[in-house]
Amino acid sequence: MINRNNYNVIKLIKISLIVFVCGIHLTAQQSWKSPEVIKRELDTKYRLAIQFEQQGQIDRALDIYQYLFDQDPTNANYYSRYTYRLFELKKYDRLEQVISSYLGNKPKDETALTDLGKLYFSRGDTVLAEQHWEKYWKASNYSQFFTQSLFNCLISLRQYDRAENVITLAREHFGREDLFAIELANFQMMRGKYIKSVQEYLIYGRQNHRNYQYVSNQILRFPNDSSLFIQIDSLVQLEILQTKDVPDLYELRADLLFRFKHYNAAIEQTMIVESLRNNTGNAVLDLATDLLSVGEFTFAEQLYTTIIKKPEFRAAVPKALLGLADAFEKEMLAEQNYSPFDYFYRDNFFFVPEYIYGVSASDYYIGRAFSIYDSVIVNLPKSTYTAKALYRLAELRFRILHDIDGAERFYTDALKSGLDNETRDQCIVRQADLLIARGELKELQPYIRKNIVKYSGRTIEKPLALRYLLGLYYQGELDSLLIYSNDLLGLLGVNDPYFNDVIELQNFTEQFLISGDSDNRNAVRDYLKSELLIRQSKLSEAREVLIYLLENYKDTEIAMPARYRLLQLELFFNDREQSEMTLNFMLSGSSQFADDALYMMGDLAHFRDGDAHYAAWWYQILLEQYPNSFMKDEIRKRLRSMHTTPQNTQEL
Amino acid sequence: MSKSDANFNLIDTKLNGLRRQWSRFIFLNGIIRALILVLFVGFIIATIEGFRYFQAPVRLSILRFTMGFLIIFFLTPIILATLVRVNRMIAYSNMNLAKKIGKQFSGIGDRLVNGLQLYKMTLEKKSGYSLELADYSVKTVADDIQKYRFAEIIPWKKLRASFIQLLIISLVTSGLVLLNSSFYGASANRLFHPHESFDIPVPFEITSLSGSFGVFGGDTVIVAFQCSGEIPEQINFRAVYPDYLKDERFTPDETGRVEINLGAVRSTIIYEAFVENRSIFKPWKRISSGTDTIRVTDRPEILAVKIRIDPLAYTQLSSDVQESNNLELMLIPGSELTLTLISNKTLKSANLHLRSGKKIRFIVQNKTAAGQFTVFDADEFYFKVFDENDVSNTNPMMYKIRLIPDSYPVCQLISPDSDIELTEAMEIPLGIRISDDFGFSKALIRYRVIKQFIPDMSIVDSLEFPIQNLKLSLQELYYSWSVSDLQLSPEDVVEFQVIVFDNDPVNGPKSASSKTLKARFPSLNDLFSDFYEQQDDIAEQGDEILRELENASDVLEEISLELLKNPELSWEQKNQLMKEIEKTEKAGKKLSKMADQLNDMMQESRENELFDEETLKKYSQLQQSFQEIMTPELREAMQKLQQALEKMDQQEVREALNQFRINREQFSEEIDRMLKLLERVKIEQSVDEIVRRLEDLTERQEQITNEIEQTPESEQGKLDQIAGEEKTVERDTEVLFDVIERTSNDMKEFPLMPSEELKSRLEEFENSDVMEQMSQTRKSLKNGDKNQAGSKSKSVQQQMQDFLDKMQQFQANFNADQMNQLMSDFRKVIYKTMQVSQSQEQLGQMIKDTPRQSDQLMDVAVKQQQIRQNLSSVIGDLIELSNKTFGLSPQVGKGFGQAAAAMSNAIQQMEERNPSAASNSANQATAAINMTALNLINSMNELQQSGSSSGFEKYMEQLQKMAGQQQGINDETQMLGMGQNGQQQALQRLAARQQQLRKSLENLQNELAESSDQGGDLGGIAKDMDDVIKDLQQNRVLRKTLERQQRILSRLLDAQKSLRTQDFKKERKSVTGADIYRKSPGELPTDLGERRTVLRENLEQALKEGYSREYEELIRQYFQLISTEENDKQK
Repeated sequence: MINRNNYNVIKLIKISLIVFVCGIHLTAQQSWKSPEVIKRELDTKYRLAIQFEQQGQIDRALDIYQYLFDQDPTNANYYSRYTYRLFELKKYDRLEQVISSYLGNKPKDETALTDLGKLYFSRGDTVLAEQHWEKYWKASNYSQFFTQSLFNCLISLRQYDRAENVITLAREHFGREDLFAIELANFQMMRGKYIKSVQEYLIYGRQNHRNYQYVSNQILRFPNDSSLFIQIDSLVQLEILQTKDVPDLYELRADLLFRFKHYNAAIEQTMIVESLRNNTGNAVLDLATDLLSVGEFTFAEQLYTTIIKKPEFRAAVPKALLGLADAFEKEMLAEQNYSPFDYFYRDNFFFVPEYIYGVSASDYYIGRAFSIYDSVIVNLPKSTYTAKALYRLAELRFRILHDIDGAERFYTDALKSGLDNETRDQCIVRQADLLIARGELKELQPYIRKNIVKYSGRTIEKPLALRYLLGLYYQGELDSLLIYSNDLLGLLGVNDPYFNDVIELQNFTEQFLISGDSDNRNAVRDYLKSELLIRQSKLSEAREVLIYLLENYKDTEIAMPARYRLLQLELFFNDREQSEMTLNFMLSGSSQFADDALYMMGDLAHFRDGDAHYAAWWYQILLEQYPNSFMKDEIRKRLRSMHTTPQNTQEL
Repeated sequence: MSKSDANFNLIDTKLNGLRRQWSRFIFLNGIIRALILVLFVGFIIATIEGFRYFQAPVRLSILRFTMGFLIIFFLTPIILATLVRVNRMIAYSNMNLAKKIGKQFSGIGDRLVNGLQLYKMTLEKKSGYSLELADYSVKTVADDIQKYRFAEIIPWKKLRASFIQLLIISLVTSGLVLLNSSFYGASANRLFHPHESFDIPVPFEITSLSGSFGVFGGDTVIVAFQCSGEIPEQINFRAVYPDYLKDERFTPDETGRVEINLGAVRSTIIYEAFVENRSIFKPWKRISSGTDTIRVTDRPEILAVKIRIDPLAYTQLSSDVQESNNLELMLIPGSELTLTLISNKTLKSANLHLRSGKKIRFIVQNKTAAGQFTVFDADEFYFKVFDENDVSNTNPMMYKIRLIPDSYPVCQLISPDSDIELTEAMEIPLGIRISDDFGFSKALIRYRVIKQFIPDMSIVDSLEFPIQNLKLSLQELYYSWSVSDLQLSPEDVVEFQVIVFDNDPVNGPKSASSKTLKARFPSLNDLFSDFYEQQDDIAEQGDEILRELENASDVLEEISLELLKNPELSWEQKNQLMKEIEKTEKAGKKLSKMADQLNDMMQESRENELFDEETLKKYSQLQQSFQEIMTPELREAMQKLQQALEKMDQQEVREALNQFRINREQFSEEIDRMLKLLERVKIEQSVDEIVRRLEDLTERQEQITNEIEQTPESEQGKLDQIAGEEKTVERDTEVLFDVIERTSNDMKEFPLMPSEELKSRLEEFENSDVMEQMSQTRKSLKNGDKNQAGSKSKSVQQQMQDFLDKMQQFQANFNADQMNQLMSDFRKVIYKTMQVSQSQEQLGQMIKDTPRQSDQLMDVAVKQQQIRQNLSSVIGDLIELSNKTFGLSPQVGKGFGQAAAAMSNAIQQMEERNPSAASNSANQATAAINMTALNLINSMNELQQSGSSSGFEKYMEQLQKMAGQQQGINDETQMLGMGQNGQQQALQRLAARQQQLRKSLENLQNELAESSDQGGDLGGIAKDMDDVIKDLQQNRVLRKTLERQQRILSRLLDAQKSLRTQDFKKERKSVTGADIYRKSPGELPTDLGERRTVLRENLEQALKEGYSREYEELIRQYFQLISTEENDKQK
């Protein structure tokens, strides 16, 4: 019996122990978090606080910082963000607590020691602050970190001279003139002392040649002042002399020269860079591209030619060849860049045809471009360059020469080469464009559907879908167009450059095409016919159709855009008298395109026809009648520039 | 004999001497110890027996046992001593004795043992030993031991100790025995006479004084006991009944007597009194009186009474059967009681005796008796029964009869709770709460029509208020009483009350009536003036708020500037700021009240169908905007400023004040916007009113024309009445002119509104001779010239109709123009937005293409700045647009804010020579603009769709058509469900039709989802339809199938109701009199009937549970109380 009792007691004790241990285990699991988890949570909060700060929600950020600091009063990040905000909000009492607490944990922390001085200073006790800084600065043996911290602190207190003095003292103490160069450089730039700033930047660059990239960015931010340029350039040249064969420094100078439009000198410097970097060709090709970007075609062409000629750039020759052809194209386009069709829903894929007008096959630039592409095809067969060259040739034929058949041949050849996926996609899309250009809309839909199915989910899907929508537009399938455009908006997303094009088309369709009575519906058919004709580059026919439309349906909704289109065609055919009449019609009504049309008149007269007087006339009408037009600033600028030219002023 | 033997003999002798001595010791010691035991055990046994009085067998056993042990005790030492003496104990052998001696005497040591062993070996002649040596050794030992006295090794001291113990025990026991000689003497006597029995002495005796006796069943019996000797403190009494045992304890009195009342005895009882001993020191166990018996002879007794109550039929109460334990009977007068009683014996007779003196003889059968009587008064009664021996029952129970009177009914009017004004629906929503204990016979609406213009023609009448279930004792009933048949003219009054009758057949139905209320039929003028009064009030309040806020803006600006100069916040400034916060809070509250006011107005005008749904929708939007005008940002700014002021932190105050100013500015702007919108809506509503008034006037004129035609020329009185009506038309026409003029003036505020056109319409109408002709009509009627009056009236009617057509056209154009204007503005904003988007997109690309080292980057930044300015211009347009429509909240422009911020970032990044980041920012800006454009388009589309009523009407038509189709399917399904021939094919056909309807519904819902947020109540129909289709396809028509079909139909009809479009009932037939301003009627509670229905259901459920009448009454009162509270709350 006793034994049994004992057994029961033991059993009971065992059970109790198990229950106890399990309970403890579970409780511990619930409340215990691993340090990693805690750290992760705090990091998330920290990021959130920074986000709040960026959004200007300082109060919320401050609350989080306070929490973070309370949780981990030794974390330097939490401390610095928190104290920064507290200083900003002048919450000195809290600051005192925070700094004391932090120093309690890290009594030698230099940031906190500096902050304590800053607190004294902010409270008005400058003497105590100075004594404090001096004491601890000395105690730290002028440590770099303390110096930097003190320097920043003094800048934040707007004690600029003292700040500069701190650096000077530190340099003297350590006997090193390159200390804190970047701090001082940025500081001098902020104060507008550019020469001093450059000197410091160059010291900074000297420390590590990779720093020159940063230095370059900073120097490029300086004001556009030629005298300043000369001083800076001389400093840089001196630096080049002192530190020989540093390509980054030459690159810096090239940037500087480019900035101040000394392109030849920039090219020279870049050549040096190339030679120092074993003539990879990258720097010169980049420079050529930059030159093209800023419209310096001649310099670009020269540079490409140099690359092609120099045997050391052998590897870069194909790219240079394509670049050169591109330069010719761009130069040609720059001269022919004023098409009336660009003004109706500017830059909209659905309304602006991609054709370039007024260039013949005998044009110098196009001839050069053709020959270069031909040479690429001959000299570099079966390479990605061939596909690219073929594609470019096709583009020239399609967009400039409007040679649909020729273009198709080249697109097909490029497609067949199959070496470059990007080119292949472009060719597939272009073939859809060719179908539109031919007016073969019935063939267009199956072609696009087939390829969309084939390339679903790839980048090519979007341009194909856009063409499909364009096809619906030209065919007048307006209900389908609206539905499809909604789908397409979803496919594109707001970040896509064609998103606004689709919205404009949608809005245009709702405003002009589907509203109104039966007259408007008839007129819309004609209008869409004219649109297709414009896309086919059949401009005379388009003009005829629009004239017919405006004669028969002049009061319909579609008459407004139709008149604008007609005006564009008349301007294209340089029919100034007729265009003025058409424009007057537009101005007499309340056309939403009126200010655009006026701007177009002025712009074309000004830049295409070179008739500033005629342009100024329209500009002035625009300013008078549409003072809120988006173009007003640009027009005022132009008019001001015209006024500065004496003969123009007289004429005006 | 060898030498060795001789020597050994010497030793042996010596050892034998020792053994003898030891034997003596053992004997003496054993005997002494045996004596000790005998004395001790004997004493103990005698003591125990002295207390316990063992029974004879026990005593015999004790004696035998004790004797046996005594013998063993004494024999043991004798035997042991003898065995030692004869050397039969190994422990006392020579060798062992030698060892003991060796231990005691060190001089001998082991030599004696060795000697003995050597001697033994010589005897055994073992080889290897020298006999001589052994002899020598034995001899030496023999010689040596002679000088020792071996007896010294015996422990004689132990013997002495034992003797002393014996002496002590002998003295102690002898002493004790001598002290209690009688106790031990008696004890010894009993022990030594084990075969004899001895009586145990008891301290007292209990004698039963009653002994055994006989009684009648039910008689009360008392038994008594007498204790003698030492009277115990308590005695136990045990009575053994046939079916149970009764044990109780009683305390004897001083004399030792105990009397016990056994009550009414109905069966034979055996009883005794006794006391039990629980002390081990007392020899007795139980002292008893001995058992006695009470023999019982039975009386007749009523074992059960069953009472059946049959209330009168009108009470609707079912018969109730009560058991005899209920001595109080609650009865409704006229109830019949049927009583049945059961006795324990065969009965000879049984009677019911009423206190009032009446005696009712019961019919007896064996042990049962039955009888009945009708109750009219309160009374009491009991039963008297006799058995075959004429022995009667004793102490009969008294039953009480209480009466429940039939109470008066109660009638309470729940709705309306005060006088009301009739709406276009011409219905009075009556709600009554009636209660009565036994239901109702009927309810009536008694009313009196008071004609405003013919007071003598008051009509008094009544109509039945339908009661579905007359039996329910408490009911809430709702009835929409249509007064359209009462031929009411505007400004007539209906006075009404509800009377309810109960169903008491005894005293005849009693009635109760509700309070009397009035329902007035207001004129159109009343309604419109009422509406305008409220609207003007709202506008005035809004203006006032705006004025106050504008004044406050100056104060805030002043303080802000002062704070810049002197950061110290003065006490006055703090007070001023606190006041401004308070003012803003008040303004917010006022606006919220205004929103409520608007809501009331909307409700009212909806009931009276004053305006079309479109106008009401705009009011609804306006109301919502008023509700939301106090933004969370403003609240937060107020809170922050308040906190900063409390802390007196200058920096914080400055920042919070700036924030507050900005938000308050927005607040003011939003109010301004609201008020402007209100002005716009007011104009639209005025145009609507003009048309509505014209419609009304035209109809009334048409009615006058008809009345003139139908009235004989001889009825001058009637003609005079018509003339009076014509006069009201004339006056209302003048009111209409005023409305048109006012509307035209209001339109001047808005340049694009057709103010002049409306004015010219008015002039056209004013210049016509319509007023003149009206006057002539009236004069002709007064003169009794019916024909002349008729022709003039027709002419007026025609002109009115023409003008109505024109105004309807005007309204249609006006609405369309407004919508077009709005759409045009929308399009412009969207167009501009897209222009900004496109240029921003181009710029993004440009930034990307511009090398970071190019100075063109700054030009691009300038372009970005220009686009940013253009965006600001679009935002301005957007704000302007938001002043014209509710369809666009300034919140739509939030995306523009993001775009502007992204543009600023891009500029900054370009300044930092970071074109890549700048390009990203520019693209972000484009995306934000695109998003906003999309929102704008959606807002515009929504507005456009809501503006077209055609879609809605089409939808209603389709719903109606679908309901018709569903009705057809339902009917046919029901027929087939009843078992017609050719079912299968027919069911399949029906399934197909249902399927088609399902598809139509789907299409309709899709259309609806696209067009607007109006949904009606179509949810769940589709699922029901699917289930029905499934049932039909499986050739089955279940009850559920029919229910589902019915539900589909109901929902289709409900959906139409909930999407009710204008369906004006042209009830106003004449308009009279001066402007009468009245308060609009209190609207019915929003949850009309809902809560009350729940209460009623709960109550009915509670009553069904079958509570007693008292509880029922309590529940009723509780319910009344809740309902009253509910009413009070609503009031």
